[in-house]
Amino acid sequence: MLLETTRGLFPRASIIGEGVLFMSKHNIAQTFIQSVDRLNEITAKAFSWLAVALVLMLVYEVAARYIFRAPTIWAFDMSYMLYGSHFIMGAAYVLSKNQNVRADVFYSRFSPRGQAIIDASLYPILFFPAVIVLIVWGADRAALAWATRELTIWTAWRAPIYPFITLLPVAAFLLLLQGIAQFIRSLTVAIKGR
Amino acid sequence: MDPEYLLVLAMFIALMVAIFSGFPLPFALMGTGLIFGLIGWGPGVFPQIVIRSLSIMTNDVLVAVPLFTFMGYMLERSGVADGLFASMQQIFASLRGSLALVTILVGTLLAATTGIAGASMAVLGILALNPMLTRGYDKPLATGSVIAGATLGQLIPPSLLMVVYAPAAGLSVVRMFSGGIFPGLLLSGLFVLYIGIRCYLRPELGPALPLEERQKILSLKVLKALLLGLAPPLLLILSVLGTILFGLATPTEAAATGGFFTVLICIALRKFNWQILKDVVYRTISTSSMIMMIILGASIFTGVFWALGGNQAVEALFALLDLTPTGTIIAVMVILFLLGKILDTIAIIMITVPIINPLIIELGIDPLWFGMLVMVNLQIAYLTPPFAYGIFYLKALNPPGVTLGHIYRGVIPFILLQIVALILCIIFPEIVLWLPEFLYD
Amino acid sequence: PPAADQAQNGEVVAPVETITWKMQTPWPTGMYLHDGPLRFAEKVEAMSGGRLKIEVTPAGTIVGAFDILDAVSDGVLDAGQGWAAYWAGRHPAAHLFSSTVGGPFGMDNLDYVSWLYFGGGLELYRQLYTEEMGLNVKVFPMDIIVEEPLGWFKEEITSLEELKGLKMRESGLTAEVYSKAGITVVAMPGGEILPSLERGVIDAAAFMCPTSDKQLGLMDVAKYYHTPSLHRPSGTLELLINQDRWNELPADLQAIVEVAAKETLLHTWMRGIFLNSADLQTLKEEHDVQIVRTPDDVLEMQLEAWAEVAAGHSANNPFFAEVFASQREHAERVVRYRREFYLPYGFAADHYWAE
Ligand code: NA
Ligand code: NA
Repeated sequence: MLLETTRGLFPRASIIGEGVLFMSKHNIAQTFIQSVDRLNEITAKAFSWLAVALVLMLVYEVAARYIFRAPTIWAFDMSYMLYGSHFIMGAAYVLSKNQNVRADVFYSRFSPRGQAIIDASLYPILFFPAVIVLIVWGADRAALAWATRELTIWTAWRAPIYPFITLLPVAAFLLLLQGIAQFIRSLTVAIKGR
Repeated sequence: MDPEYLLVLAMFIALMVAIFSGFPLPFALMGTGLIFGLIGWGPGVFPQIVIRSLSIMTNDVLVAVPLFTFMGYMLERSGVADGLFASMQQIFASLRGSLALVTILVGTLLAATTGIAGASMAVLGILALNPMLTRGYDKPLATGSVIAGATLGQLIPPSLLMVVYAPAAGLSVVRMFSGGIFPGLLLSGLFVLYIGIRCYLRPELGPALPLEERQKILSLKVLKALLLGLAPPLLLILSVLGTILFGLATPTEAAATGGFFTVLICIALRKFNWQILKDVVYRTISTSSMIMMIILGASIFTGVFWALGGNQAVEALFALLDLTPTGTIIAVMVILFLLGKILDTIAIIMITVPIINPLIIELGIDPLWFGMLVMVNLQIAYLTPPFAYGIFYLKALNPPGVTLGHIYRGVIPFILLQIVALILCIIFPEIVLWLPEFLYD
Repeated sequence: PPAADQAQNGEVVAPVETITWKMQTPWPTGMYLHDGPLRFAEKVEAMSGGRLKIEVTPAGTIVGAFDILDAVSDGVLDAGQGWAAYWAGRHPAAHLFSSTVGGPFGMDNLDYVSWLYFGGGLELYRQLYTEEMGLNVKVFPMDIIVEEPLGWFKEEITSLEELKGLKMRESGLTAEVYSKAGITVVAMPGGEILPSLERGVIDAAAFMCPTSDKQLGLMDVAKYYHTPSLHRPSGTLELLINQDRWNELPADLQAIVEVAAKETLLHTWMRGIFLNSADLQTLKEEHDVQIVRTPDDVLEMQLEAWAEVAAGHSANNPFFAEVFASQREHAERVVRYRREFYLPYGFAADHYWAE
């Protein structure tokens, strides 16, 4: 399925191009891009507060250890679950704001259209296959975690970890949506030249 | 060459092409990993990508990444540096090049409070650059000292680069932190010496502060201002490095207490409101997500690289070169320096450390010492164009009348000083190792 | 190029098919536990005349140390080494195949291994992974770590009460059981144990055994080494093989793998006693480490707290209850037999090596 997706995109590039033009005429693409941008911004902003939760929780943990001489049994497991949720749910937002690091030694010398051509031709090779793997096999892993009601094993807490594992395919799905949006953006610039 | 290494070679070349195509780094890494995993390995690569992603998501050391980012941005908004800068300025007012000297010293102190170079860069860029330019400082000298002062943050603990490096090399974050203190101070000292001597010889580069702007020495008001300026940063240093060194908390917990104290200081300085917090929190998720996705992508790539026998290829290559341990160190340092010119530092760590570290251990080289050499080396990367965060940040501030040429000329002497410091750390390992051994052995 | 091989007399030799496996361990290179899998691979290659080649890589190379079971089952790795407790988040019975706090009803390593091979243990072990957890994995016991001491302490303790007044770093089942007994357990990344103990973030920590504790350098930060302990008194590490890879092996190679695994178990066990006794001597003589006998009430706490935790798992999980009962049944005869029939270990030891 994955290989077909990648392989299939090349011969059909012109069809996609026409499709994009059609959609842009009818503003379908614009609506899609704007909704995805908005969705990922809302998601990231909601999850961004986990950083504050993380600060407060760990400060409480240190205080509990010294002032009450009673460290929590949950802070350790919670800390990596909060941190993991925080960054993975922000990934699509970073993509939408084009804030990912690029080694742009050469890239920065191209015109906007040249850059768009590079991006549009690399999304199908480097981005979509990997993100689809994260969704499909990630969902598989999450299903296993739910089926076994998987727990953490490091501390006395034995916390349920399956909701946390589920965030990986969810975040990957948001990345996919954002990737499609970015792809359409690049393709439009590549075709229209602006 | 062994034909089985051809695939590894192809993978490496493909990675370089993918990276320098300018495609977003995390996906250049992930995508190349997946394609070559499929070619050389088969469907095993599919679950591997998920397994490695989850293992980055549950990494108990990298928890410090969002915490240090949060603290850095909060610090930037706190205005802590304003008071610090003003008071230091009064102390050194009579010296030539005082503002540039103070920039380095404030950079050194800020470095001990924050783990990300970006925070120091923004603070120093806003605070120090304009006063220097309006007082007729040499533009290359002014920009160079701002960038150099800000990058000290990576070497003087706490340091995000070390938080990323330590788990990749199986080292303790705390030990790495303590190893960075003397190399960091050495560099800071070299910068100060350089600026002092240059401005003494050529006063027009950095004139002393005009008399009318100096305060009367020893007035109570000045002393009070001095104390008020110095207290918040010292309190922050205590809340982060202090909690680690006095044994109150792990580095991750210290990053959290540091962030918490920064908020308290903001409240005390009346620099805190809902809007500021929101702004800091949103920037934190952007930055730490950006950093973490590079780490995640690189982790997937290196997993495939190992599975295809990439490490054996590298080992075979080094065996072929038949270098002494010192020769190996020098070779690796040159490679890292060149990579540092063109690539993001975190990506460099995540790609090279899993490959090179086993080799280092095999040669009997102290991995902590080696790790600190990498840290000093990668600090140079912030200054070396074309891919230089330091220069990007400064350019983004758009200082009036400063051209890219000024900045490039400005960083050259500091790059040379950093190379000197790196060579000193290679010749005298005690610079790195004395403090960790004194503290923890 | 095997097809071109010709024997001296000109007779064409059938091409030899070489199978190569990727195997990962949960240990970093240089740690002595990494040697077990390395030796296993070496022996398999030698015994098979090079027909089965196993490439062993250290922790974190292809997957993380705690992802090896999934990786082997999914075919990411062909083989791997694991410790069953790492998978206890999926199934509580995994504890019973690593080591449990309190131990299996008084059995030591010798008795425990006899349960695995003769008391029905190995069948249950395989049933756990294939049927209970639905994995595509064949498991063999492969390595024995010597009994773990209680841990390293900054100050000597003489009672359970004193232990409760300290902050101790422990993880996994031990952390669960200790917490239940009211001990202050601090969780932290493994890499921070040493500096944290040095700086006093924690007052005590357990790592593994004299050889690896010495490798880590714990004697430089704490001087009181408390032993014995019942928190990991028995148990094996495991060899995990992807079931499809296993099925593809011809019968002779299967036999070679099986024998090599068992031989590695014996080898690591013997070597563990040899190395650990030497390293303990070095710790005492060259590093002034004080060996302190663990207070009896701490040992009793380990037995009692485990009984409570185990009863909980038994009530909730029929398979856990089945394995637990099987261990009990084996122990009832074997432990009684050894106590009734064997000379107490100290008897002749006192004669020769009285303190
Ligand atoms: Na710093
Ligand atoms: Na650079």
